[in-house]
Amino acid sequence: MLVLSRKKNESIHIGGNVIVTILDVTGDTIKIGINAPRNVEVYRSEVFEAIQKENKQAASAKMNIAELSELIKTSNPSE
Amino acid sequence: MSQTRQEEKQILFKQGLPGFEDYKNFVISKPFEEYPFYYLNSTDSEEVSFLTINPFEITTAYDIELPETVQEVLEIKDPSEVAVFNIVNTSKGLPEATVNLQAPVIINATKSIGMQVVLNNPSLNIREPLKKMLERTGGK
Repeated sequence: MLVLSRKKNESIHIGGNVIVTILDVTGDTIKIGINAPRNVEVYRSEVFEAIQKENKQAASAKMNIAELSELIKTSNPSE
Repeated sequence: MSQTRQEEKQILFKQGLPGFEDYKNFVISKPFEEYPFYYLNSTDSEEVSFLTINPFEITTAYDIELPETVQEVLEIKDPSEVAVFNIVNTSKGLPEATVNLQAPVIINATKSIGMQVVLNNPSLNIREPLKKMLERTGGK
């Protein structure tokens, strides 16, 4: 990992069009501003990792049509 | 049981899905005409197969706002082109199945392209119980 020290209001360019700016530092919280092209997605890592994990669990389950049909019936009081 | 072969639609996910970045070609199909479930199956690997639900067929309470970036990436010109699906996690069995409301699969049906969008809305549950959603609406 490349490690750079930056002070408040200093920035880092990543590639030609991503700029990361340190906006504020309060205790152990750092406020970061990110300027990136619209097609670059920016996520908090823990959120993205949670979605990856959720997808991996969801994809590994082979669906059983009969089971699915049963669930719909049991949760539908009108049938 | 009324399982008829429904029409399949091929969708290209240029970026794959989170956790499955290398799988870009999927087919979406509806196993039951009368229920809001859809399969999202990778044509790159048989091992990658999702059960999804169309939230708008079962609830009016799910409101999402698509970031402009998504509208651009998916070349969305009109809201009528957009289809929304939420991935169902059945890894603990169907009665315990949960629905990922925070990261819906958004599809431009006109262009046949899609992406899974991680919404920056902490009030959307990543594991909303499927049963709870179905019970609220009687499964319809």
